[in-house]
Amino acid sequence: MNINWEELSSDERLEEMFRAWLSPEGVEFVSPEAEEAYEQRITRVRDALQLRVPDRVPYIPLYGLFPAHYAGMTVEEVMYDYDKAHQAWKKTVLALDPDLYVNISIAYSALVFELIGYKQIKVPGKQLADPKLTYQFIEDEYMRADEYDEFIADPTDFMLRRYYPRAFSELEPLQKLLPLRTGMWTCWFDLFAPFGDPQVAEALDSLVRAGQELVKWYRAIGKFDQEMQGLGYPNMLGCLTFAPFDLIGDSLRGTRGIMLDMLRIPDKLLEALEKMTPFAIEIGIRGARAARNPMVLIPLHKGAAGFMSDEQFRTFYWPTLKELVLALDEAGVIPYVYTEGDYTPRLEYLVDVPKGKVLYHFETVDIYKAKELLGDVACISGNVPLSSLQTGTAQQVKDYVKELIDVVGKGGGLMVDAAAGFDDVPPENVKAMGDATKEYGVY
Amino acid sequence: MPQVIGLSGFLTLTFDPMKATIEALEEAGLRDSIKVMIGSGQIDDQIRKHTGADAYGRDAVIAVTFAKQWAREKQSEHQLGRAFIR
Repeated sequence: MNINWEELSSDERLEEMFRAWLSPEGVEFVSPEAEEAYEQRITRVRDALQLRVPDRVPYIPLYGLFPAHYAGMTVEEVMYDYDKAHQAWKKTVLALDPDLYVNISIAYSALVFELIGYKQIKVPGKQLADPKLTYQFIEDEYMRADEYDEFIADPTDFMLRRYYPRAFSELEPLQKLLPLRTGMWTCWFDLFAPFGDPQVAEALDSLVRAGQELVKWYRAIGKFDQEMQGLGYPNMLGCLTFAPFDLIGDSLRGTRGIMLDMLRIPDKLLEALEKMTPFAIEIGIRGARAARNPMVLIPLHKGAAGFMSDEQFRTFYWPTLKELVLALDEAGVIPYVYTEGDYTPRLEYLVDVPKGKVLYHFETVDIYKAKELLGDVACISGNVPLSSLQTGTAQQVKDYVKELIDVVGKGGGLMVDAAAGFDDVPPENVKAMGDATKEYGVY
Repeated sequence: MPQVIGLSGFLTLTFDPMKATIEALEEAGLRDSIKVMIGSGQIDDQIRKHTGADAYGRDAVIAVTFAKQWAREKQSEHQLGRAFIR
Protein backbone atom coordinates (compact mmCIF):
# COMPACT_ATOMS: atom_id res chain seq x y z
CA MET A 1 0.00 0.00 0.00
CA ASN A 2 1.47 3.28 -1.11
CA ILE A 3 0.23 5.46 1.74
CA ASN A 4 2.07 7.87 3.99
CA TRP A 5 0.64 6.56 7.27
CA GLU A 6 2.48 9.14 9.37
CA GLU A 7 0.40 11.99 7.94
CA LEU A 8 -2.95 10.40 8.76
CA SER A 9 -5.02 10.44 11.94
CA SER A 10 -5.97 7.06 13.42
CA ASP A 11 -9.52 7.37 12.00
CA GLU A 12 -8.11 8.14 8.55
CA ARG A 13 -5.78 5.15 8.85
CA LEU A 14 -8.72 2.89 9.69
CA GLU A 15 -10.63 4.34 6.74
CA GLU A 16 -7.70 3.48 4.45
CA MET A 17 -7.58 -0.06 5.83
CA PHE A 18 -11.30 -0.56 5.16
CA ARG A 19 -10.84 0.88 1.67
CA ALA A 20 -8.05 -1.62 1.05
CA TRP A 21 -10.13 -4.51 2.44
CA LEU A 22 -13.01 -3.49 0.17
CA SER A 23 -10.81 -3.48 -2.94
CA PRO A 24 -8.74 -6.70 -2.84
CA GLU A 25 -5.79 -6.66 -5.20
CA GLY A 26 -5.85 -8.92 -8.26
CA VAL A 27 -9.34 -10.25 -7.55
CA GLU A 28 -11.81 -10.72 -10.36
CA PHE A 29 -15.34 -11.14 -9.08
CA VAL A 30 -17.25 -13.95 -10.76
CA SER A 31 -20.38 -11.80 -11.07
CA PRO A 32 -21.72 -8.36 -10.13
CA GLU A 33 -23.72 -10.15 -7.42
CA ALA A 34 -20.52 -11.57 -5.92
CA GLU A 35 -18.96 -8.11 -5.85
CA GLU A 36 -22.04 -6.69 -4.19
CA ALA A 37 -22.10 -9.53 -1.63
CA TYR A 38 -18.43 -8.89 -0.86
CA GLU A 39 -19.11 -5.25 -0.03
CA GLN A 40 -22.29 -6.08 1.85
CA ARG A 41 -20.46 -8.57 4.08
CA ILE A 42 -17.71 -6.12 4.99
CA THR A 43 -20.28 -3.39 5.66
CA ARG A 44 -22.24 -5.78 7.89
CA VAL A 45 -19.11 -6.64 9.87
CA ARG A 46 -18.06 -3.00 10.06
CA ASP A 47 -21.46 -1.88 11.37
CA ALA A 48 -21.50 -4.56 14.07
CA LEU A 49 -17.93 -3.77 15.04
CA GLN A 50 -18.54 -0.05 15.30
CA LEU A 51 -21.68 -0.65 17.36
CA ARG A 52 -24.18 0.43 14.74
CA VAL A 53 -27.11 -1.85 13.94
CA PRO A 54 -26.18 -3.89 10.83
CA ASP A 55 -28.69 -5.43 8.40
CA ARG A 56 -28.12 -8.74 10.20
CA VAL A 57 -25.83 -10.31 12.79
CA PRO A 58 -22.59 -11.30 11.02
CA TYR A 59 -21.59 -14.97 10.98
CA ILE A 60 -17.83 -15.38 11.38
CA PRO A 61 -16.96 -19.03 12.18
CA LEU A 62 -13.27 -19.23 13.08
CA TYR A 63 -13.08 -22.97 12.56
CA GLY A 64 -9.98 -24.91 13.47
CA LEU A 65 -9.20 -27.93 11.31
CA PHE A 66 -12.87 -28.68 10.68
CA PRO A 67 -12.39 -28.28 6.89
CA ALA A 68 -10.02 -31.29 6.73
CA HIS A 69 -12.49 -33.53 8.58
CA TYR A 70 -15.43 -32.17 6.59
CA ALA A 71 -13.67 -32.98 3.31
CA GLY A 72 -12.75 -36.47 4.51
CA MET A 73 -9.03 -35.74 4.57
CA THR A 74 -6.49 -36.26 7.32
CA VAL A 75 -4.85 -33.28 8.98
CA GLU A 76 -1.51 -34.68 7.82
CA GLU A 77 -2.71 -34.46 4.20
CA VAL A 78 -3.73 -30.80 4.37
CA MET A 79 -0.50 -29.88 6.17
CA TYR A 80 1.61 -31.33 3.34
CA ASP A 81 -0.54 -30.80 0.26
CA TYR A 82 -1.59 -27.20 -0.34
CA ASP A 83 -3.97 -28.20 -3.17
CA LYS A 84 -5.80 -30.58 -0.87
CA ALA A 85 -6.06 -27.85 1.74
CA HIS A 86 -7.47 -25.59 -0.97
CA GLN A 87 -10.17 -28.13 -1.86
CA ALA A 88 -11.12 -28.80 1.76
CA TRP A 89 -11.30 -25.14 2.76
CA LYS A 90 -13.20 -24.17 -0.39
CA LYS A 91 -15.76 -26.90 0.26
CA THR A 92 -16.16 -25.58 3.81
CA VAL A 93 -16.56 -21.91 2.84
CA LEU A 94 -19.16 -22.75 0.19
CA ALA A 95 -21.11 -24.95 2.62
CA LEU A 96 -21.03 -22.57 5.58
CA ASP A 97 -21.55 -19.40 3.52
CA PRO A 98 -19.98 -17.19 6.23
CA ASP A 99 -19.62 -13.40 6.25
CA LEU A 100 -15.84 -13.77 6.66
CA TYR A 101 -13.82 -16.86 5.83
CA VAL A 102 -10.65 -18.27 7.38
CA ASN A 103 -8.05 -19.34 4.80
CA ILE A 104 -5.76 -22.36 4.60
CA SER A 105 -2.96 -20.76 6.61
CA ILE A 106 -4.41 -22.31 9.78
CA ALA A 107 -3.28 -25.72 8.42
CA TYR A 108 0.34 -24.48 8.25
CA SER A 109 2.96 -26.05 6.01
CA ALA A 110 4.49 -29.17 7.53
CA LEU A 111 7.10 -29.04 4.74
CA VAL A 112 8.47 -25.76 6.11
CA PHE A 113 8.57 -27.22 9.63
CA GLU A 114 10.54 -30.22 8.31
CA LEU A 115 13.04 -28.12 6.39
CA ILE A 116 14.06 -26.19 9.51
CA GLY A 117 13.30 -28.92 12.04
CA TYR A 118 10.78 -26.91 14.08
CA LYS A 119 10.44 -28.62 17.44
CA GLN A 120 7.42 -26.74 18.82
CA ILE A 121 4.79 -28.33 16.56
CA LYS A 122 4.13 -32.07 16.47
CA VAL A 123 2.68 -33.03 13.10
CA PRO A 124 -0.09 -35.68 12.98
CA GLY A 125 0.96 -38.82 11.12
CA LYS A 126 4.59 -37.99 11.92
CA GLN A 127 5.41 -37.10 15.53
CA LEU A 128 1.77 -37.84 16.46
CA ALA A 129 0.67 -41.35 15.52
CA ASP A 130 -2.85 -40.56 14.29
CA PRO A 131 -2.88 -38.50 11.04
CA LYS A 132 -6.34 -37.15 11.87
CA LEU A 133 -5.30 -35.44 15.07
CA THR A 134 -4.78 -31.70 15.32
CA TYR A 135 -1.12 -30.64 15.39
CA GLN A 136 0.21 -30.18 18.89
CA PHE A 137 2.19 -27.26 20.26
CA ILE A 138 5.08 -28.26 22.51
CA GLU A 139 6.44 -25.83 25.07
CA ASP A 140 9.91 -25.93 26.52
CA GLU A 141 12.29 -23.56 28.25
CA TYR A 142 13.96 -22.28 25.08
CA MET A 143 15.13 -19.36 27.21
CA ARG A 144 16.40 -20.21 30.68
CA ALA A 145 15.37 -18.18 33.72
CA ASP A 146 18.92 -16.82 34.06
CA GLU A 147 18.96 -15.55 30.46
CA TYR A 148 16.49 -12.67 30.82
CA ASP A 149 19.28 -10.07 30.90
CA GLU A 150 20.78 -11.38 27.70
CA PHE A 151 17.36 -11.31 26.01
CA ILE A 152 16.54 -7.81 27.26
CA ALA A 153 19.93 -6.41 26.19
CA ASP A 154 19.63 -7.64 22.59
CA PRO A 155 16.48 -9.61 21.69
CA THR A 156 17.43 -10.07 18.03
CA ASP A 157 20.78 -11.55 18.97
CA PHE A 158 19.05 -13.81 21.47
CA MET A 159 16.64 -15.04 18.80
CA LEU A 160 19.44 -15.73 16.32
CA ARG A 161 22.00 -17.41 18.55
CA ARG A 162 19.91 -18.93 21.35
CA TYR A 163 16.25 -19.41 20.38
CA TYR A 164 16.68 -20.54 16.74
CA PRO A 165 19.42 -23.12 17.52
CA ARG A 166 17.29 -24.56 20.33
CA ALA A 167 13.84 -24.51 18.73
CA PHE A 168 14.83 -25.59 15.18
CA SER A 169 17.03 -28.69 14.91
CA GLU A 170 18.40 -27.68 11.47
CA LEU A 171 19.48 -24.29 12.85
CA GLU A 172 21.45 -25.68 15.78
CA PRO A 173 24.80 -24.63 14.23
CA LEU A 174 23.74 -20.96 14.44
CA GLN A 175 24.82 -21.12 18.08
CA LYS A 176 28.37 -20.90 16.69
CA LEU A 177 27.75 -17.37 15.39
CA LEU A 178 29.16 -14.38 17.24
CA PRO A 179 26.95 -11.42 18.22
CA LEU A 180 26.54 -9.38 15.03
CA ARG A 181 25.95 -6.10 16.87
CA THR A 182 29.63 -5.14 16.63
CA GLY A 183 30.28 -6.05 13.02
CA MET A 184 32.24 -2.91 12.23
CA TRP A 185 35.90 -2.07 11.56
CA THR A 186 37.18 -4.07 14.52
CA CYS A 187 39.09 -7.27 15.17
CA TRP A 188 39.62 -8.07 11.48
CA PHE A 189 35.93 -8.83 10.96
CA ASP A 190 36.15 -11.89 13.22
CA LEU A 191 32.35 -11.91 13.36
CA PHE A 192 32.15 -13.25 9.82
CA ALA A 193 34.45 -16.21 10.46
CA PRO A 194 31.71 -18.58 11.74
CA PHE A 195 29.99 -18.24 8.36
CA GLY A 196 32.90 -20.26 6.99
CA ASP A 197 31.98 -23.20 9.21
CA PRO A 198 30.49 -26.03 7.07
CA GLN A 199 27.73 -26.72 9.64
CA VAL A 200 26.74 -23.06 9.78
CA ALA A 201 26.64 -23.04 5.98
CA GLU A 202 24.34 -26.08 6.07
CA ALA A 203 22.03 -24.33 8.54
CA LEU A 204 21.88 -21.29 6.26
CA ASP A 205 21.10 -23.58 3.33
CA SER A 206 18.16 -25.08 5.18
CA LEU A 207 16.94 -21.55 5.94
CA VAL A 208 17.03 -20.79 2.21
CA ARG A 209 15.12 -23.98 1.38
CA ALA A 210 12.53 -23.24 4.07
CA GLY A 211 12.20 -19.71 2.71
CA GLN A 212 11.63 -21.06 -0.80
CA GLU A 213 8.95 -23.43 0.49
CA LEU A 214 7.31 -20.57 2.39
CA VAL A 215 7.11 -18.60 -0.85
CA LYS A 216 5.30 -21.56 -2.46
CA TRP A 217 2.97 -21.77 0.51
CA TYR A 218 2.19 -18.04 0.40
CA ARG A 219 1.37 -18.41 -3.30
CA ALA A 220 -1.06 -21.22 -2.43
CA ILE A 221 -2.69 -19.01 0.21
CA GLY A 222 -2.87 -16.11 -2.26
CA LYS A 223 -4.49 -18.35 -4.87
CA PHE A 224 -7.07 -19.52 -2.33
CA ASP A 225 -7.82 -15.97 -1.17
CA GLN A 226 -8.28 -14.70 -4.72
CA GLU A 227 -10.74 -17.46 -5.52
CA MET A 228 -12.81 -16.98 -2.33
CA GLN A 229 -12.87 -13.21 -2.68
CA GLY A 230 -13.86 -13.55 -6.32
CA LEU A 231 -16.87 -15.51 -5.08
CA GLY A 232 -17.80 -12.65 -2.77
CA TYR A 233 -16.30 -13.77 0.56
CA PRO A 234 -13.98 -11.38 2.43
CA ASN A 235 -10.95 -12.81 4.27
CA MET A 236 -11.38 -12.73 8.04
CA LEU A 237 -7.79 -12.17 9.11
CA GLY A 238 -5.10 -9.70 8.14
CA CYS A 239 -2.64 -11.39 10.47
CA LEU A 240 -2.03 -12.62 14.00
CA THR A 241 -0.13 -11.11 16.85
CA PHE A 242 0.07 -12.09 20.50
CA ALA A 243 -0.09 -10.60 23.96
CA PRO A 244 3.53 -9.94 25.02
CA PHE A 245 3.04 -12.29 28.00
CA ASP A 246 2.12 -15.11 25.60
CA LEU A 247 5.02 -14.39 23.24
CA ILE A 248 7.41 -14.96 26.11
CA GLY A 249 5.32 -17.69 27.74
CA ASP A 250 4.52 -19.80 24.67
CA SER A 251 7.82 -19.75 22.84
CA LEU A 252 10.59 -18.75 25.23
CA ARG A 253 9.82 -19.76 28.80
CA GLY A 254 6.87 -22.18 28.63
CA THR A 255 3.85 -22.02 30.95
CA ARG A 256 5.66 -23.57 33.90
CA GLY A 257 8.64 -21.27 33.45
CA ILE A 258 6.74 -18.01 33.11
CA MET A 259 4.39 -18.84 35.99
CA LEU A 260 7.42 -19.36 38.25
CA ASP A 261 9.01 -16.16 36.92
CA MET A 262 5.99 -14.14 38.13
CA LEU A 263 6.86 -15.29 41.64
CA ARG A 264 10.65 -15.53 41.56
CA ILE A 265 11.88 -12.84 39.19
CA PRO A 266 8.91 -10.50 38.63
CA ASP A 267 11.06 -7.46 37.77
CA LYS A 268 12.97 -9.28 35.04
CA LEU A 269 9.73 -10.56 33.56
CA LEU A 270 8.18 -7.08 33.59
CA GLU A 271 11.25 -5.67 31.86
CA ALA A 272 11.13 -8.39 29.20
CA LEU A 273 7.39 -7.78 28.67
CA GLU A 274 8.06 -4.09 28.03
CA LYS A 275 10.84 -5.02 25.63
CA MET A 276 8.52 -7.40 23.79
CA THR A 277 5.55 -5.01 23.44
CA PRO A 278 6.83 -2.92 20.49
CA PHE A 279 7.55 -6.19 18.64
CA ALA A 280 3.99 -7.44 19.21
CA ILE A 281 2.70 -4.10 17.88
CA GLU A 282 5.02 -4.22 14.88
CA ILE A 283 3.91 -7.76 13.94
CA GLY A 284 0.25 -6.69 13.92
CA ILE A 285 0.59 -3.45 11.99
CA ARG A 286 3.03 -4.80 9.40
CA GLY A 287 0.92 -7.92 8.81
CA ALA A 288 -2.38 -6.09 8.46
CA ARG A 289 -0.97 -3.51 6.05
CA ALA A 290 0.74 -6.21 3.94
CA ALA A 291 -2.51 -8.19 3.79
CA ARG A 292 -4.63 -5.05 3.12
CA ASN A 293 -6.97 -6.28 5.85
CA PRO A 294 -7.57 -4.45 9.18
CA MET A 295 -8.44 -7.51 11.28
CA VAL A 296 -5.59 -8.54 13.59
CA LEU A 297 -6.31 -11.66 15.62
CA ILE A 298 -4.82 -11.74 19.13
CA PRO A 299 -5.45 -15.21 20.60
CA LEU A 300 -5.02 -14.98 24.39
CA HIS A 301 -3.42 -18.03 25.96
CA LYS A 302 -2.23 -17.65 29.52
CA GLY A 303 -4.29 -14.85 31.08
CA ALA A 304 -7.50 -16.82 31.68
CA ALA A 305 -9.08 -17.15 35.11
CA GLY A 306 -7.73 -20.33 36.65
CA PHE A 307 -4.34 -19.80 35.00
CA MET A 308 -3.35 -16.78 37.05
CA SER A 309 -4.76 -14.65 39.84
CA ASP A 310 -6.52 -11.35 39.33
CA GLU A 311 -3.52 -9.53 40.75
CA GLN A 312 -1.17 -11.35 38.40
CA PHE A 313 -3.43 -10.52 35.43
CA ARG A 314 -3.47 -6.86 36.48
CA THR A 315 0.29 -6.79 36.96
CA PHE A 316 1.76 -9.01 34.26
CA TYR A 317 -0.80 -9.72 31.56
CA TRP A 318 -3.13 -6.80 30.99
CA PRO A 319 -0.85 -3.69 30.90
CA THR A 320 1.19 -4.75 27.86
CA LEU A 321 -1.85 -6.34 26.18
CA LYS A 322 -3.71 -3.05 26.60
CA GLU A 323 -0.72 -1.19 25.18
CA LEU A 324 -0.82 -3.51 22.17
CA VAL A 325 -4.58 -2.99 21.67
CA LEU A 326 -4.29 0.80 21.90
CA ALA A 327 -1.31 0.92 19.54
CA LEU A 328 -3.07 -1.23 16.94
CA ASP A 329 -6.13 1.01 17.13
CA GLU A 330 -3.94 4.08 16.76
CA ALA A 331 -2.46 2.54 13.60
CA GLY A 332 -5.92 2.03 12.13
CA VAL A 333 -6.16 -1.72 12.52
CA ILE A 334 -8.77 -3.68 14.48
CA PRO A 335 -7.67 -5.71 17.50
CA TYR A 336 -9.67 -8.96 17.36
CA VAL A 337 -9.06 -10.06 20.94
CA TYR A 338 -9.75 -13.78 21.01
CA THR A 339 -10.02 -14.80 24.66
CA GLU A 340 -9.57 -18.47 25.49
CA GLY A 341 -10.70 -19.93 28.81
CA ASP A 342 -12.86 -18.18 31.39
CA TYR A 343 -12.84 -14.39 31.09
CA THR A 344 -15.77 -13.44 33.31
CA PRO A 345 -13.50 -12.10 36.09
CA ARG A 346 -11.46 -10.15 33.48
CA LEU A 347 -14.38 -8.22 31.99
CA GLU A 348 -13.77 -5.21 34.24
CA TYR A 349 -10.37 -4.76 32.55
CA LEU A 350 -11.56 -5.39 29.00
CA VAL A 351 -13.95 -2.40 29.16
CA ASP A 352 -10.96 -0.06 29.26
CA VAL A 353 -10.52 0.34 25.47
CA PRO A 354 -11.75 2.90 22.89
CA LYS A 355 -15.37 2.55 21.93
CA GLY A 356 -16.33 0.60 18.79
CA LYS A 357 -12.74 -0.29 17.89
CA VAL A 358 -12.21 -3.76 19.30
CA LEU A 359 -13.79 -7.16 18.66
CA TYR A 360 -13.87 -9.39 21.76
CA HIS A 361 -14.30 -13.11 21.24
CA PHE A 362 -15.30 -15.24 24.22
CA GLU A 363 -14.95 -18.93 24.83
CA THR A 364 -16.32 -19.26 28.35
CA VAL A 365 -17.87 -16.20 29.90
CA ASP A 366 -21.04 -15.04 31.62
CA ILE A 367 -22.31 -13.72 28.31
CA TYR A 368 -25.07 -11.62 29.91
CA LYS A 369 -22.55 -9.90 32.15
CA ALA A 370 -20.28 -9.45 29.13
CA LYS A 371 -23.09 -7.69 27.24
CA GLU A 372 -23.92 -5.59 30.30
CA LEU A 373 -20.34 -4.39 30.79
CA LEU A 374 -19.07 -4.32 27.21
CA GLY A 375 -22.28 -3.52 25.32
CA ASP A 376 -21.42 0.16 24.91
CA VAL A 377 -17.71 -0.48 24.36
CA ALA A 378 -17.07 -3.33 21.97
CA CYS A 379 -18.61 -5.91 19.69
CA ILE A 380 -18.78 -9.44 21.13
CA SER A 381 -18.42 -12.81 19.36
CA GLY A 382 -18.08 -16.52 20.17
CA ASN A 383 -19.50 -18.43 23.12
CA VAL A 384 -21.55 -21.05 21.20
CA PRO A 385 -20.53 -24.11 23.29
CA LEU A 386 -18.37 -26.71 21.60
CA SER A 387 -20.11 -29.32 23.75
CA SER A 388 -23.39 -28.61 21.91
CA LEU A 389 -21.66 -28.47 18.54
CA GLN A 390 -19.86 -31.76 19.16
CA THR A 391 -22.40 -33.86 21.04
CA GLY A 392 -25.69 -31.95 20.87
CA THR A 393 -28.40 -31.72 18.25
CA ALA A 394 -28.78 -29.14 15.50
CA GLN A 395 -31.87 -27.86 17.31
CA GLN A 396 -29.88 -27.35 20.52
CA VAL A 397 -27.32 -25.29 18.60
CA LYS A 398 -30.05 -23.24 16.91
CA ASP A 399 -31.75 -22.55 20.24
CA TYR A 400 -28.49 -21.33 21.75
CA VAL A 401 -27.75 -19.02 18.82
CA LYS A 402 -31.31 -17.65 18.96
CA GLU A 403 -30.95 -16.81 22.64
CA LEU A 404 -27.55 -15.25 21.99
CA ILE A 405 -29.06 -13.04 19.29
CA ASP A 406 -32.08 -12.13 21.43
CA VAL A 407 -30.02 -11.09 24.42
CA VAL A 408 -26.53 -10.12 23.26
CA GLY A 409 -27.53 -9.11 19.74
CA LYS A 410 -30.00 -6.55 21.00
CA GLY A 411 -29.17 -3.26 19.29
CA GLY A 412 -26.14 -4.73 17.45
CA GLY A 413 -22.66 -5.46 18.78
CA LEU A 414 -22.72 -9.22 18.15
CA MET A 415 -21.10 -11.59 15.66
CA VAL A 416 -21.85 -15.31 15.84
CA ASP A 417 -19.06 -17.84 16.20
CA ALA A 418 -18.31 -21.04 18.12
CA ALA A 419 -16.67 -20.76 21.54
CA ALA A 420 -13.35 -21.91 20.08
CA GLY A 421 -11.79 -23.58 17.06
CA PHE A 422 -13.41 -26.93 16.28
CA ASP A 423 -12.34 -30.06 14.48
CA ASP A 424 -14.43 -33.16 13.77
CA VAL A 425 -17.84 -31.75 14.77
CA PRO A 426 -20.96 -32.98 12.92
CA PRO A 427 -21.38 -30.69 9.87
CA GLU A 428 -25.15 -30.38 10.44
CA ASN A 429 -24.47 -28.72 13.81
CA VAL A 430 -22.04 -26.24 12.26
CA LYS A 431 -24.57 -25.53 9.54
CA ALA A 432 -27.25 -24.98 12.22
CA MET A 433 -25.09 -22.24 13.76
CA GLY A 434 -25.03 -20.32 10.47
CA ASP A 435 -28.66 -21.03 9.58
CA ALA A 436 -29.84 -19.74 12.96
CA THR A 437 -27.78 -16.57 12.55
CA LYS A 438 -29.36 -15.87 9.17
CA GLU A 439 -32.86 -16.82 10.35
CA TYR A 440 -32.97 -14.97 13.67
CA GLY A 441 -30.25 -12.38 13.19
CA VAL A 442 -32.00 -10.02 10.78
CA TYR A 443 -32.59 -6.60 12.34
CA MET B 1 -4.57 -49.16 42.60
CA PRO B 2 -5.54 -45.53 41.91
CA GLN B 3 -8.71 -44.17 43.45
CA VAL B 4 -9.09 -41.24 41.10
CA ILE B 5 -8.36 -40.78 37.40
CA GLY B 6 -8.21 -37.31 35.84
CA LEU B 7 -8.47 -36.79 32.08
CA SER B 8 -7.64 -33.42 30.56
CA GLY B 9 -8.47 -32.48 26.99
CA PHE B 10 -8.34 -29.16 25.17
CA LEU B 11 -9.82 -30.00 21.77
CA THR B 12 -13.19 -31.35 20.67
CA LEU B 13 -11.20 -34.37 19.44
CA THR B 14 -10.67 -35.46 23.05
CA PHE B 15 -14.36 -35.97 23.94
CA ASP B 16 -14.76 -39.41 22.36
CA PRO B 17 -11.42 -40.82 23.56
CA MET B 18 -12.44 -39.79 27.11
CA LYS B 19 -15.71 -41.68 26.64
CA ALA B 20 -13.81 -44.73 25.32
CA THR B 21 -11.45 -44.64 28.31
CA ILE B 22 -14.32 -44.70 30.79
CA GLU B 23 -16.03 -47.50 28.85
CA ALA B 24 -12.79 -49.48 29.01
CA LEU B 25 -12.74 -49.05 32.80
CA GLU B 26 -16.30 -50.41 32.89
CA GLU B 27 -15.42 -53.39 30.71
CA ALA B 28 -12.47 -54.17 32.96
CA GLY B 29 -14.81 -54.14 35.95
CA LEU B 30 -12.95 -51.25 37.58
CA ARG B 31 -15.47 -48.45 37.17
CA ASP B 32 -17.11 -48.82 40.62
CA SER B 33 -13.84 -48.54 42.50
CA ILE B 34 -12.44 -45.56 40.57
CA LYS B 35 -13.72 -42.00 40.37
CA VAL B 36 -13.15 -40.22 37.06
CA MET B 37 -12.91 -36.47 36.58
CA ILE B 38 -12.47 -34.65 33.29
CA GLY B 39 -11.43 -31.10 32.64
CA SER B 40 -10.42 -28.16 30.43
CA GLY B 41 -12.00 -25.04 29.02
CA GLN B 42 -14.24 -26.94 26.59
CA ILE B 43 -15.71 -29.35 29.14
CA ASP B 44 -19.16 -28.76 30.61
CA ASP B 45 -21.90 -30.92 32.10
CA GLN B 46 -23.03 -32.03 28.64
CA ILE B 47 -19.60 -33.51 27.97
CA ARG B 48 -19.49 -35.03 31.47
CA LYS B 49 -22.72 -36.87 30.65
CA HIS B 50 -21.46 -37.76 27.16
CA THR B 51 -18.32 -39.38 28.56
CA GLY B 52 -19.87 -40.88 31.71
CA ALA B 53 -17.39 -39.13 34.05
CA ASP B 54 -18.23 -38.46 37.70
CA ALA B 55 -17.32 -34.78 37.65
CA TYR B 56 -15.83 -32.06 35.50
CA GLY B 57 -13.90 -28.89 36.24
CA ARG B 58 -12.06 -26.07 34.55
CA ASP B 59 -8.75 -25.99 36.40
CA ALA B 60 -6.30 -27.90 38.56
CA VAL B 61 -7.55 -26.35 41.80
CA ILE B 62 -11.03 -27.81 41.39
CA ALA B 63 -9.40 -31.18 40.58
CA VAL B 64 -7.70 -31.14 44.00
CA THR B 65 -11.01 -30.25 45.64
CA PHE B 66 -12.75 -33.21 43.99
CA ALA B 67 -9.92 -35.61 44.87
CA LYS B 68 -9.97 -34.56 48.54
CA GLN B 69 -13.74 -34.84 48.70
CA TRP B 70 -13.70 -38.33 47.18
CA ALA B 71 -10.85 -39.43 49.47
CA ARG B 72 -12.88 -38.24 52.48
CA GLU B 73 -15.97 -40.09 51.26
CA LYS B 74 -13.92 -43.26 50.83
CA GLN B 75 -12.48 -42.86 54.31
CA SER B 76 -15.89 -42.48 55.90
CA GLU B 77 -17.07 -45.56 53.95
CA HIS B 78 -14.16 -47.48 55.49
CA GLN B 79 -14.98 -46.21 58.95
CA LEU B 80 -18.61 -47.08 58.41
CA GLY B 81 -17.51 -50.56 57.33
CA ARG B 82 -15.41 -51.01 60.47
CA ALA B 83 -18.25 -49.83 62.65
CA PHE B 84 -20.46 -52.56 61.18
CA ILE B 85 -17.83 -55.23 61.79
CA ARG B 86 -17.50 -54.13 65.37
